[in-house]
Amino acid sequence: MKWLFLLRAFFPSWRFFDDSGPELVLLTRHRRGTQWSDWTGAIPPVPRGWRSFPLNARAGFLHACRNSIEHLAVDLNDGAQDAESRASFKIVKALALFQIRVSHGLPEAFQFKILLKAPDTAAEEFLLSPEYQV
Amino acid sequence: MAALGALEWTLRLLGVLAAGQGIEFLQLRGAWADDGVWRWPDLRREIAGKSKSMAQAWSLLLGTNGFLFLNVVRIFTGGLAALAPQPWMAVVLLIIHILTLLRWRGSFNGGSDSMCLLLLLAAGAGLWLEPARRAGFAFLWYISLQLLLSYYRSGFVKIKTRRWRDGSALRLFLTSPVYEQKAWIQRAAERRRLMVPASWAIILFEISFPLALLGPRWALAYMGAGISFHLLNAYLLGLNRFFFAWIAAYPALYYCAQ
Repeated sequence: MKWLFLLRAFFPSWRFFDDSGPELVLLTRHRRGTQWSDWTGAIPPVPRGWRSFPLNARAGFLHACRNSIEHLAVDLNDGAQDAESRASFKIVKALALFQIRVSHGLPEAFQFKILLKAPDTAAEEFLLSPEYQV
Repeated sequence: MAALGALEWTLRLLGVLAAGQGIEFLQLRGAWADDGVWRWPDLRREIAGKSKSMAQAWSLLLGTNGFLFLNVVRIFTGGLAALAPQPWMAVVLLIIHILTLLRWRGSFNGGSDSMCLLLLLAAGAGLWLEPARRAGFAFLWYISLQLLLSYYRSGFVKIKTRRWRDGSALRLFLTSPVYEQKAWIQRAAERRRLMVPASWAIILFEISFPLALLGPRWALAYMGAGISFHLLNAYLLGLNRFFFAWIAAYPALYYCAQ
């Protein structure tokens, strides 16, 4: 089953942008000293512009980040036991720290959460991580 | 266009795609380094299991240094394939592509990874078999049918979706906070008179794509529309890799439409 997942590119669904379902939003906060920052969105928007053609590493990175968050959501929905030991969780945890480090430098501690946001409705909390010391 | 020529053009375009993929991965090196996002130590166990020897072997290929080396080879081989395509280049690019998919837990860039994979498999096999057995046409047909299916299925799903038929899905995608907001896109998306025909243009283009097989002129017309469509997707949705992955299949479509 794991290898089927890893080799799923061999079996394309050829479905693109078929419906605008709920979006998963990754938020992070970090602490230096005793002061926690506010929760902020961790994944910036995909840039639009002709300067990003033909190469657009930034868009590829941001799409891959969103895919990784969706993989974690699927694992959690499947009722994964010991979610923190799964690769999908470790990737999102690393993603949260990576984005904090890029924007604010290395924190002393950080935390992330995932919101489920459907169009025209209030967001609901899907996952709240523990606080991690760096 | 002869079968060999169509297969060579497919591999040339795949070479451009592969070189671009390699350059982008080098630009993103920080994201897959050991202190990045997709850290090899976090991924190793999922791919290699518990065996220490397997873990060492996979680490050689997909660890930070191994993956760096793979991408340098990909850029070099992709560049060569774009200039002077040879069957062995398709094999090298295919192996690197499959290893890359594993490194990203199955996919880095969604459908473009699948298209690239299918094209490398078919173009590679076609180029190996065409000179001796004249079997290239079968692989060109396989590529064409996958291309037609990719558009047709995408259009078929959209036409069944009410939000696509009434233009609201396109508006939501264009104004989604996932993408950088531009005032002119926001203004255009708020105009229902624009969104409804634009949605139907996309649906009809996709669902009618099999008509491209009616003849070379039909194929050229659909290819022209397809290039514009993928350029817009690259601009609006950041789907640059889709542009080169789908365009690489067009020589096969033209061959089959002849």
